[in-house]
Amino acid sequence: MMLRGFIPIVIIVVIGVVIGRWDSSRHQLTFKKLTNYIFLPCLAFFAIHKHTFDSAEIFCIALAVLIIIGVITLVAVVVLREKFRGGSRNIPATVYMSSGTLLPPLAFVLFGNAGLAKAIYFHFFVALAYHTLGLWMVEGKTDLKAFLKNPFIYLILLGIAAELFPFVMPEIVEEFAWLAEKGIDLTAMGALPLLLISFGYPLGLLRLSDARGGLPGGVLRIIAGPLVALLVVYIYRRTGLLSMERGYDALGYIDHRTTEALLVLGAAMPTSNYAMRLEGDEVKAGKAETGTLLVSSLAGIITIPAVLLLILMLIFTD
Amino acid sequence: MNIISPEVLIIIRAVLPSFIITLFGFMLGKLDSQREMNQKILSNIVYYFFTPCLVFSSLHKRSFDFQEFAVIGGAAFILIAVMTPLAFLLKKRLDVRENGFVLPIIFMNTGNISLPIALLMFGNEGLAKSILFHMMNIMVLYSYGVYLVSGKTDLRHFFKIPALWATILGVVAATSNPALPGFVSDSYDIVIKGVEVLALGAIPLLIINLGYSMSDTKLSTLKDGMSGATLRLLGGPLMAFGLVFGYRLLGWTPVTPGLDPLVSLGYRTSEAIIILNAAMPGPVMAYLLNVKFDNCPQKSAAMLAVGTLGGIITIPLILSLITSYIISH
Repeated sequence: MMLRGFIPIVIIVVIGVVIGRWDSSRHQLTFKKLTNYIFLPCLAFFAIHKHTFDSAEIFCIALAVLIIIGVITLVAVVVLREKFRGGSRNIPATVYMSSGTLLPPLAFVLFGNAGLAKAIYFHFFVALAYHTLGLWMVEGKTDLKAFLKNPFIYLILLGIAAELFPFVMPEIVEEFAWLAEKGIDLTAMGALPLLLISFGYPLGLLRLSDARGGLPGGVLRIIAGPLVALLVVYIYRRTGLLSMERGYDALGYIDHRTTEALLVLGAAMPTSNYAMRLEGDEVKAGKAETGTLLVSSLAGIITIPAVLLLILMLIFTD
Repeated sequence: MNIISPEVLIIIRAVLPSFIITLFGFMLGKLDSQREMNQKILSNIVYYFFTPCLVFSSLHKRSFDFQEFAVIGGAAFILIAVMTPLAFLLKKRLDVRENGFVLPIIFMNTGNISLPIALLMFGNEGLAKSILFHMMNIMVLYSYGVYLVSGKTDLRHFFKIPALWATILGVVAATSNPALPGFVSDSYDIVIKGVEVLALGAIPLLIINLGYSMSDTKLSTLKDGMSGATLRLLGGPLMAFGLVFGYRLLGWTPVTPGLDPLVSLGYRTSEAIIILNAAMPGPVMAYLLNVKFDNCPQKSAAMLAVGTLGGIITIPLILSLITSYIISH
């Protein structure tokens, strides 16, 4: 079942790579604008306003992201022999995963709307960590302003508000709001293929020869991520944050397992294609970063199904 | 007292979500004052990947009745054929050089506006019949329509149109049901899942592209779209009424109720669907082709905008005519 969800995703990413190879004039900016300003915000609202707000769930995801990124950062500094501050950009390329392009469609196909909502929260905290810790490490300063300029943050808040406070509105306004929601839903569904294509598109620029320089970073990204996430899940279970008690609430139990699965899956994602730092048709990233992206993306074709198998065995099977 | 009639409400419900998506594209266009976004790459993606997937995924699961297709699809074909010389006449009168101008006049938005109305007004029977009309409209749009805007008379180009193959494959998949070995069947299901996910991108990307383009449209261009949209909205249903009465005279949709009232009701629904679809404004897909082949996309966007807005007034009128002269007859 999980492979049936994963293989179509790979096919669409490959289509993105083919388009990227075939398109001689680079249009990465077109995809970036479309996904950042329209599709991802609509997807965030679509997922969050239909998902029951649970502060404990958000806390679990936030803490998990913090631990996963913190531990991998430390390991990456040691393994890649980089400085903690002022090191190369291969550190963020190794640490930060493609939580905004690859994860949401995969989570939706595999775990439905609950998985998608958790993936959106996961991406929110990864993006926050990148704009604070990630940029501080390589540039010496954070860039919260850029983070706050991202419309998807506000659509998450709007989604939470819509879920928490079901406003009583006059019938005509309610009708209009329902129709507006239908428009957003339609766009959100369109986000699924577009996010995948926008992940694959810049990969078409990479050469296989780039892989050598990215071997340590790529392997670390793809292996250490799910391992640390599994450790987090273990700690959560031991501390009762994600209780294994079945109790009377079977849905709550399934929801906890979905959160665990999402954390492991999110941590297993390859490097974000932002690592390429594309400007027009020019790749600003060094060989190590592009190599990390290439290695983690190629390895992900094998490791992600393996991680899905682990999720099935360790999380969804008693 | 209801300010808005139920028919208008149905149409508003059908078109408003699309307007909202158009607004997203429009706002993106306003934000992108440097015009850094490239619409051609988006049109190419929709043309080569998303639309063929949409066409295939909307066809492969449906049952296919060739006799019904002959009546309804035939009507779509005739309406397109009759509208073509009129559209070219208008193009000549307005001194427009590009062939792309005629596309939103000849073809109809039989997808995202007509299908929900058909479902709400005539139920599942109406929806199934409307899909047949939609199929013919799409087939001709992606064959003759592409031929018109690409300016390539070579037949090889005709056979390179991706949606044409998607249509053929979709009809084959819908009409055949071979027993496949387990592995092949599993692989087919996986590919279908990928196709269905890709299909989800077609409509929003098309509409956003349209909205983006409209952000650059001047009011004077909207005036250019007026005559084309009027011909589409008024000429289309007029011809359809003529065609329906022609069908009746030929006995293809007999008026005299036989022993089975359901058969008669089926004929009336077919007629209503033909007229309803003929009353639609131009399709967003036509705009995609205009952008892809760089064939007056601005005028096309204006015609679609005027036509869709005008449709809010004309479609309820046509629906009430359908109720008075076709269904109540």
